[in-house]
Amino acid sequence: MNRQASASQKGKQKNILITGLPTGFINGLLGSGGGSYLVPQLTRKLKLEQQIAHATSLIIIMPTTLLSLAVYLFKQPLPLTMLLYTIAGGCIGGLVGAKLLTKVPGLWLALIFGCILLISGCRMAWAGFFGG
Amino acid sequence: MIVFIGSILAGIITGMGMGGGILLVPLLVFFSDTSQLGAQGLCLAFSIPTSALAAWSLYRQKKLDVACAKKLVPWTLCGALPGALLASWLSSSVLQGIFGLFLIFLGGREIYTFWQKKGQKKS
Repeated sequence: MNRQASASQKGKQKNILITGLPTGFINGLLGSGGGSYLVPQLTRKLKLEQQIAHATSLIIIMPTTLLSLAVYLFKQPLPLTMLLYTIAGGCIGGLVGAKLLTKVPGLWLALIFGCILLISGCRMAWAGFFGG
Repeated sequence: MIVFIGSILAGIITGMGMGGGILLVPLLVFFSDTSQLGAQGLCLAFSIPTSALAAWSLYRQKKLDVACAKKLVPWTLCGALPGALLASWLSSSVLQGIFGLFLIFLGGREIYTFWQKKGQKKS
């Protein structure tokens, strides 16, 4: 009985490890996308509900992002005007998106989003490995 | 201007909970003179206020699992340090290539879930 409990404790610890470490690594290496690994892990391995997983991922990502950003700033300063543009656009878009959430069929949006990701991914990989 | 419109789009996708922040990086790299690392740093800085806003409203709706977050954060920090150091050490084009591969993977996953869910609806 006791042994079983400690085994499941170990399993939990392992799940936390394989969820946390790669999330941080992706966040640090690529600057984004940690959440796209974290949310499915939270629902599958740590058994959180979809909505709660999404919300919880946000507060996990925040301190992680601060650390990654601090490391980046040693190498390179931020392009500040560009940052203002993107934050302004992002806030407007965020409000619109939250309202649209109930109205637009998410399924088709996922397809469009997926295609955009695929195309820009191909372009970036090509430019990165073969282009100048 | 393209960057501004693109950020609105990215914001919409983020607001719908699909991680639109990741679109900012290719947007900045292709349509402005920002470097790969600069774009990634900008994306990081962008996500702090936007996710803080979202997290605050979700916190008031009691949708957060704080205990779970507390357990995970030390590990994400352990992962972030080598990740960020590697990013600033790699050359810009290699980093761009890795980023591209990651985008391809995410896009593929998104399309795969689309087919899966579409099949479920029909049956």
